[in-house]
Amino acid sequence: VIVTITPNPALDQFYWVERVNEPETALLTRANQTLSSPGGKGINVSVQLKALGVDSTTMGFIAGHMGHAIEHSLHAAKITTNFVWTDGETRTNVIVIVKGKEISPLEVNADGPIVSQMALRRFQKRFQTALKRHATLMFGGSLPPGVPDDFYLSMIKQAQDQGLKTLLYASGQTFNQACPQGAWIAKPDLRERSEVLGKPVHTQEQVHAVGRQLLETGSEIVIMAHGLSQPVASQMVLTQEGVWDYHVAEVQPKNRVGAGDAFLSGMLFKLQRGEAVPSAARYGMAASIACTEAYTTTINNRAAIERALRRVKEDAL
Amino acid sequence: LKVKDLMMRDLAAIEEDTLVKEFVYILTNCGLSSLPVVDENDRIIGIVSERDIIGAVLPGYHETLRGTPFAPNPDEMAQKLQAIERQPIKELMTSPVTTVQENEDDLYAANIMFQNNLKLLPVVNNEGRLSGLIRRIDLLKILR
Repeated sequence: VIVTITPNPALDQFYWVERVNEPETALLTRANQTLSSPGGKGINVSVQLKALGVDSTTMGFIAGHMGHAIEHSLHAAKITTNFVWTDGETRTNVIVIVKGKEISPLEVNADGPIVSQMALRRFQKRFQTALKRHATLMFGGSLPPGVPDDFYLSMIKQAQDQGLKTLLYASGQTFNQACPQGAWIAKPDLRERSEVLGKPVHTQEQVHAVGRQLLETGSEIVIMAHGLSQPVASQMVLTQEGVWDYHVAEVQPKNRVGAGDAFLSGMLFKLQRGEAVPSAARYGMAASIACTEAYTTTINNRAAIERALRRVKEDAL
Repeated sequence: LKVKDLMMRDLAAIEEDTLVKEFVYILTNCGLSSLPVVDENDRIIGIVSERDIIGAVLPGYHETLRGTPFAPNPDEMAQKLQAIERQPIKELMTSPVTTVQENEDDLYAANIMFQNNLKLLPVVNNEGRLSGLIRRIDLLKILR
């Protein structure tokens, strides 16, 4: 029923280290633990939904050895793929997490392969078919080179024209270009720039004001992360009916990557089951906490989410 | 095991107006030797393989020359490939296609593949839409 679209997937390479050695001490730093996992917002949501027992299909552009690695890994997790192949090599993102500094990992993301015109045409064909098979479409992450800036805008419009529900989770210009279309759920990614539609989102008041502006585009639910320097970012959820803020006091962070995706997955999981927005958002926040406290980019397990649920604080604003 | 537990959950497919050139490009990237051809609703209308392309550029090769020490002239083969590269795949696909339902047993699927000498068996859901693919290696994975 759900399809996730990640135009620019990545193979996320995680390295947990005791410390990063200074060149004067040693030229080599050894990792205590490593993880290689398929990444990108839509892919993360598909993996997390699977952990919650929900099947989805994931789409996007892949290329080269890394593309095969991603596809193989997703098939092993019994996730349905509908990728379009392009030239070059799918990107690798490197995340170095130093012990004691888990909340500020070194994250280096690559641009991704240049998507060919032929691959774009193929994607459009496969997307048209996907529109006939799915009720909910989630668009997430950056656009690789070669993909036009209005990619999400156009896809969301096509989905809305068929009466389908859409979710948009992206950053910067990619989000700004598509958000006027009023996706059912809109969530700007603020990790790179604390700005949406040219407006700053540093304080809770600013977050609230921009969230309100996004509601005016027609989105039914707007999710705004804030307090990004905390181990688990707080999430403000806005609808026409109310505004709620979700946060957590204490967390044992191991990996922040994927925590925003986990919020969306947890919330979507509950909304699909007919739960009200505040209840679904609480579950999303619990999923975000569970994800942060695990050595993976996905929700560890449902029991961990249930335990985290007790620690979620909710304020009606 | 059910077919759905065994299949590769890949909706890799092409449409009947896909050009031969594009099909060859997809095959070289995705690592499969054939692909199902679907309509606009993801219902399977044909299947096309690398063998079909070779058959189009070297008619009779599989039937008469496979067992002989025969090496086709690469230049001639390249020219023939170029001659058909803009041909739509519907002109080369095999139709109708043998498929299997995702709720069938693994042994049933294995039987279909071996009896029909298939390398790839498309799997359909209860709406008749493509839901995955079974390769021979997927059957052998049971032994792991």
